Amino acid sequence: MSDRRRILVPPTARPLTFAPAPTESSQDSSSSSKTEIYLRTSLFPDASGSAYLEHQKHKILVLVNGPRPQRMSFSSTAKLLVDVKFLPVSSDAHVLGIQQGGGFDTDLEKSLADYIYASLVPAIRLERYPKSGISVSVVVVSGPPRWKGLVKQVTAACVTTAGAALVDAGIEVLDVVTACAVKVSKEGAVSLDLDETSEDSESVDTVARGVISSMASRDEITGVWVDDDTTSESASSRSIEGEALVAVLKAANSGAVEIRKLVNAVLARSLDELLVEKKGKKKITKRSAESMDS
Amino acid sequence: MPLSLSEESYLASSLSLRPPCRPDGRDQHQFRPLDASAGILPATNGSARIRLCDGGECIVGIKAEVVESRKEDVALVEVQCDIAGVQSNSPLHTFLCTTLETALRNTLPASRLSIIHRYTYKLFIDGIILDHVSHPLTLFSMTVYLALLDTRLPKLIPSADVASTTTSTSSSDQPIGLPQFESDWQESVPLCDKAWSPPLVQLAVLAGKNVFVDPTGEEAGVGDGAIVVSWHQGKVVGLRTVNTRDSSKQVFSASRDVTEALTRVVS
Amino acid sequence: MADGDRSDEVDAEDDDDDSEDERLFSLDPEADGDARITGVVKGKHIVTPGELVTSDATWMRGHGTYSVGNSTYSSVAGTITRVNKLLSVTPLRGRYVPEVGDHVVGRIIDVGTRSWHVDIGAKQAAVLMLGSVNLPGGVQRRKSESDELQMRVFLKEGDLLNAEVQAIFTDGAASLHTRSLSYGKLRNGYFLNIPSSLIIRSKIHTLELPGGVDLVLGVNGYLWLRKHTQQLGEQGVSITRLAEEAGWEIYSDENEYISPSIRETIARYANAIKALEFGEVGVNEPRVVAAYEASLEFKNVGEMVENDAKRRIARQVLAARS
Repeated sequence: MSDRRRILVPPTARPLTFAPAPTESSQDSSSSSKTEIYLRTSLFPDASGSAYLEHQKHKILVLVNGPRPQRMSFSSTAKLLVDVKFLPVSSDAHVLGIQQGGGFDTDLEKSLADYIYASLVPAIRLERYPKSGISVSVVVVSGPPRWKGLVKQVTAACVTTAGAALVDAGIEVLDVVTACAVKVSKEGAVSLDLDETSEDSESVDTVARGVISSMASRDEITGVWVDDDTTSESASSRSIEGEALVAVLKAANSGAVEIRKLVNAVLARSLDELLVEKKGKKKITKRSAESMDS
Repeated sequence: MPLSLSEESYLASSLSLRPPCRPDGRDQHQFRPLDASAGILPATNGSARIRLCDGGECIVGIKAEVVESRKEDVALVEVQCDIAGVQSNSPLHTFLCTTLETALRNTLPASRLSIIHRYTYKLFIDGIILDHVSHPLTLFSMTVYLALLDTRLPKLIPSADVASTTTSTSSSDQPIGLPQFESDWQESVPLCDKAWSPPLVQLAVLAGKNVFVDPTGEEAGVGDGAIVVSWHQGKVVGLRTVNTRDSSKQVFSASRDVTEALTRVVS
Repeated sequence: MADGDRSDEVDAEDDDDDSEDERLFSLDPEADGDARITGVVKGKHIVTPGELVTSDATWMRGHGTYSVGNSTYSSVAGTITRVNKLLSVTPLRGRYVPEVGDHVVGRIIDVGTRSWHVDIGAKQAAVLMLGSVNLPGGVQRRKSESDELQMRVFLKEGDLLNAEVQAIFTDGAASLHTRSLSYGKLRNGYFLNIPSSLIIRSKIHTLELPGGVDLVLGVNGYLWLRKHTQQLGEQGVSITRLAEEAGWEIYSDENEYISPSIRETIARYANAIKALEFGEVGVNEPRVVAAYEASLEFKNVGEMVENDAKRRIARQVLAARS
């Protein structure tokens, strides 16, 4: 008879330990800017895969679960599920959303999820996992203080983190998906949208913003989202086509390639750590075996 | 209902031929015939109905409400829709509503809706999609476009308001009189004129190196992916990739994308 | 028009009927009076729900009718048909009602144990038993347990097939069979459907059309247009060798090479059939061919999606008949 008066801890529980202060695993993503991006994988042993990214004020956590069996109608490929959640503390978006009857933020969550889904699906080898489901949960722990104009930047961060988390989960992919945001100025100049903060985004110089997801080593683009962002009436909107579009795509693609380098470095490093850990364990077992012998 | 493998490969290879062969023989940039009418709901500021030949039908009504304009960014356009046979709050609803809302918010200048100091119109766009066989985005957007063209706002009586606004600027905490409108509907002014026309959002399906407008359901089902393109006064103002099926192989190089952007369709 | 055809048939039957039956379908405008008393339905064969069909108790009541006392009323809107003493009302519209011997096209919706569920556009899903299909390695081979385990290898969800209605269960669901080499999985083509009421039943429903295209005209309104290929039975293989010939290829999902011109012809046929549907013209082989020929005036197949073009084709087909 078990002790009913006490709530027992789960059998797998371990005492709480605090992780050592995070060290910058890699930085300096785009050569000139002093943007710092912190990315780390395998943070949550319970999830199949996880990744955490910090970039400016955005803190994004992605958990991947699966592939796991799905008790539904038969399907010959895996089903991918993406959901995005903003934590209530993440930004002003929630406050706004509550005021407007939940209008803005939940829709933003869903359209973000839509875009992340469209970006990831071409890369995953879904046909390798019949009758199963893969779920990707993106948690925006902390977003920019003001969302206006920074949606694309957060989207890019989410896609990159999700791409790394998929790799961490050991799911077969064609290539790692990374994303980069760009902005187009009034004069038509395209620049990477990495170091812009809420304060800067107020400026009227930017007329369009976009985000590109790409598979860098295959040189293929999996997702495009470009919007004309002309909020002020005076600035005449520019048409996103032809040369302008090519410029946007090229700039963003090169940005994504840069970010890919960072992701690669992080993934390689986490693999190293894993190997060291395994080796360490082996050594321990060896030693214990030796001690038993002696 | 899923397609059989041989059906899928037949359609996919027909669509990616150069020149492509659509199952109904249409040109890449050819729309299906549709039946449109505007101003069908007398209780609204503007309304429209579009019927497609495949049975898809959409009705949109637009109501304008006078609200107090505040300092914060108040959304002046709200789009809602109801799709027959689809649970409300499904991803499709959100997709349709947010896509159109963003397109409208990005292109509609606030001055077009402001009445006088402190007061502004807020547009409520409500759509009902009675039936859809193909993806409803194009249908919904075209109906909203037509309804916005049909939208008329009552004419403001200028007399007292100008005086009251000028006098009350000195004592700002005194309530300003509500704007007065002409009761005669004949006098109303259209929302759209030469200076501004509503945006139009289209879904285009990619298959191989080809791009198709106004895709049927089966075309969207076998395509490699889809792009949502927003037009506003002859310019592309938004571009976004979406997925139309579970396992899309949607990848494209930059050059292919340009051809897509050149598929400018003025319907 | 399809409905016209049907009432024509009824008329023809009436002509050689004896006087007793005249009472029921009296075309005489003089035979007036209260239908409830005389039992006469006057001047028309189309009835609406609740309408009195006859007050004569000698008739047997079939589908689409109900009775109160001795009188028979219609429960659907449609035409009166009768076989000997059986009266029934055939609805003008509505879902396909399977009949034994119908050649139908269906789509697998579910794979069960030892049977498939097939959508044939009827009110219930049809059943295709594992024992009613030809399996690779011999027509008359016994079904083994290993066949049961790999049913999805033969036919899976979404697959299209043509089959014959073998029997009707008491609840109205159909049981299908594909025990002939002209039936089975469909490939090399394009599927479309039209209302089943527009299909005119005939002896042959696998049509060889000009232009190198075959049409499987399912009685249920599901159609399959495909590139013309030699069917197994046509290759002059003796019946004894059929067993060896019926290999795995009958369940193949791979299409053969289909040239762009054949694809265009298939699209043209599809549009021609949609034009017939638009004009509510009944569909049979001569009309499909006539519609195809009428469509040749449109050089570009895409022009045929316009309603005017459809109307024109439908009119020409009807004109060609008279």
